[in-house]
Amino acid sequence: MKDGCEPIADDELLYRRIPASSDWYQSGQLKPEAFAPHKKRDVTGLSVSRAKYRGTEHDEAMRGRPGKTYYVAVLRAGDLRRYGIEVVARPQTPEGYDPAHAELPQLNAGNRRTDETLERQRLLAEKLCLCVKGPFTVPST
Amino acid sequence: MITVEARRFMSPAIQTPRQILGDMAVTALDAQRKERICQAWQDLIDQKLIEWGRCPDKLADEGVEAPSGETIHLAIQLAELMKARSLQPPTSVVPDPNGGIVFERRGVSIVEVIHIWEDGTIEYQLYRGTKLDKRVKLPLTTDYNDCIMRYACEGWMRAYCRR
Repeated sequence: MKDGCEPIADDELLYRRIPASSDWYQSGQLKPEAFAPHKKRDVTGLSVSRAKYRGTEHDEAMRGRPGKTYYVAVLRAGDLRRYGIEVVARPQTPEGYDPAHAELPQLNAGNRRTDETLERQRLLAEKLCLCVKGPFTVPST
Repeated sequence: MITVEARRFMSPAIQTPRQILGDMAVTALDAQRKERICQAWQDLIDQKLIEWGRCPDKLADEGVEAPSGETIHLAIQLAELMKARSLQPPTSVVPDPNGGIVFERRGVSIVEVIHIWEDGTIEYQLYRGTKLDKRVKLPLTTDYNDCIMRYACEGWMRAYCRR
């Protein structure tokens, strides 16, 4: 089996990159908007990264835009599942093969305005996020 | 008989600020409080909303669209309205990833949100913990003053209604 295709174990850590300019992380508090699906990019689910393939939180942040600053929220797959939030490996992305790429299919572009999605966003931000690391600034090219 | 006996030990009624300080002092305190609220709203408009409109590139990122001029204009209108009514300022204002703007006011056990979506829809949401307890769309066609007073009547808004 190719790297990144295997199911995500309950004890796996997941990363979610958060632009510092959005203020979605301020005064030690993470906002639900950090987990809001984008109407074009998150058609099949909200993107997260598998720590075992990505490396450190810093490595995750460095995948952002040059010159921009990011925080990285850390979650555990099993915690999400306990609250009914699925997480699946999706290494095939429009940009190419990325073994670290995973998705939360229940939070997607199609249902981004539903009560359930808004509640799940809040659950992820306020209960399930283990910690937030950063800020990390991507060097300008 | 028992009731009469008990009354002897009851504390006197708690005095209101008006009784303690007198009407003039209360008016002064009220004016100060309103001024602080007004300033907080103005700072939000000047330092955040107008700034987003001037430099949308600062917000834009992969998967994050900066709010459009129309959405920012709507947010400023709303902020001006709430400022004029001396409503408590939000504890945070952030963009959503699709070009919307979210006003949030965090209480002890509730969180109130006014969400301006990217298409101009405005919603009031009330959360108890992570549960969405109330969600009301504020129609665009009606005057915002009426909508806010009519629909968003809990906590944040109720504080205004009581005055």
